[in-house]
Amino acid sequence: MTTPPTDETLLQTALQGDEGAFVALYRRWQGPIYRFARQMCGSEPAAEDVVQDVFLALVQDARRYDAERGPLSAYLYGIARHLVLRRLRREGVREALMETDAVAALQETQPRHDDTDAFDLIDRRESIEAVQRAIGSLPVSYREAIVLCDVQELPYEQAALVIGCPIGTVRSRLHRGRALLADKLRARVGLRGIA
Amino acid sequence: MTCDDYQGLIIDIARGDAVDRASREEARRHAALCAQCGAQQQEQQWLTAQFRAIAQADAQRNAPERVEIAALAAWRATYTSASQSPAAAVVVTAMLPRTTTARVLKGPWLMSGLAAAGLAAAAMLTMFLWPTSTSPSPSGRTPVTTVVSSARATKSEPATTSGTVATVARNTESRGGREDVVPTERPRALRTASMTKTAQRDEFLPLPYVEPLRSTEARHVVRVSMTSGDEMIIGVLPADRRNGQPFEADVLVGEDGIARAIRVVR
Repeated sequence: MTTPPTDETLLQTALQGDEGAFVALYRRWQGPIYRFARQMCGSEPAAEDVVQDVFLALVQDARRYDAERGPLSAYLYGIARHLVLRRLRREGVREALMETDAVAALQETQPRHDDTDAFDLIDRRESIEAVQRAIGSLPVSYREAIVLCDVQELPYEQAALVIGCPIGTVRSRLHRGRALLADKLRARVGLRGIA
Repeated sequence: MTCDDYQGLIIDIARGDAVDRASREEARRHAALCAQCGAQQQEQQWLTAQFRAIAQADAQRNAPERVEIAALAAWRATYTSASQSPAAAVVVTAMLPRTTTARVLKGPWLMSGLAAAGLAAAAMLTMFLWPTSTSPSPSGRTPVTTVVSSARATKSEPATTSGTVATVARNTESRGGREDVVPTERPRALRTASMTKTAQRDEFLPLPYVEPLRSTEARHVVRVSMTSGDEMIIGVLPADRRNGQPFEADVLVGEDGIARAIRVVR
């Protein structure tokens, strides 16, 4: 049983003109990057743009990648993050709209019976959508910590590389982001049970 | 364990991160005694479950296939020996949104663009200042813009030697927005070999994944050099048409800089 080649090996092979290696690399990482960008931007077209730009950047500047600074996946996520932040800055107004949407969506999921645990009342799919919207309404620094660490399940070390900050900062942002998320969901859905 | 101690562990426990057994047990006892911490723990565990459900629901979401086609085309244009010219990258941008198009125009493309823009400006200036060399446009046609471009133009290879100078003229009255590339009278110095030779061209074929040009929209024609691999990428012609030989093509570009159609120059 052969071990699949590492990202770094695939990249080196691709740089030597092996198309199959490039395709393998693309197929390995387009999904996670697409999902990261979609979670961050809340838009599929935007996520498509980000994936395109990430791999165009890799094609154009692949030799800028330094394996000693971290895994290729962190490098790709880092490019994606940069593109996402640039897009979010450009579309600053949209964040406010997302916030409004999130409020509306969460209010729609208001439980009908006050004496029932709200968490249990929210339909599974609706609750996922509500949480996604709530994530989208978080400040970007907390949003990216939650998307990277909790949704994408990157280790803290790798998330720190992507964001470009110490691990402790990632942990504190994750802690704060989760607390904000709980506040939002509790306030809007009417969650009880917390003193 | 105090509430502060517990707060330091609550996320790790909720995420299922590695926490030593003694600390975990102590935290569990604290959560059982402290209603507030216990409720927070429940919340955080619920959130963790939601995050995993989101990840599971999203697991099959991928970028559309066209993104892979575009990325692969860009890779081929850069790394395959058969495609020394970056023409494919130009055509690939036809499939890409504006932001990506702008990215591709960085680096050597930026230099090419600047050279082309400079030459176009010089052409326009010369047309105004050189009355003996100018002549009226063909009847019924209004010159819209003059575009000088070359996919191969680089610092060491000026656009005037390898590019094509063409004026896109629009017959707004009778052609309903359809464009022709019409070489018009202009200063002799701006003529190029590729411009003066008689070229036979196919009809423009619309490129996939882009919206068609509006009839009122300004447009440019960009002459590029391509290989059969490039045309396979954009689905213009079957591979056996060109036998891998380089050939020239005109790319119709909208005012937004995105290519809309292509035709082969024989």
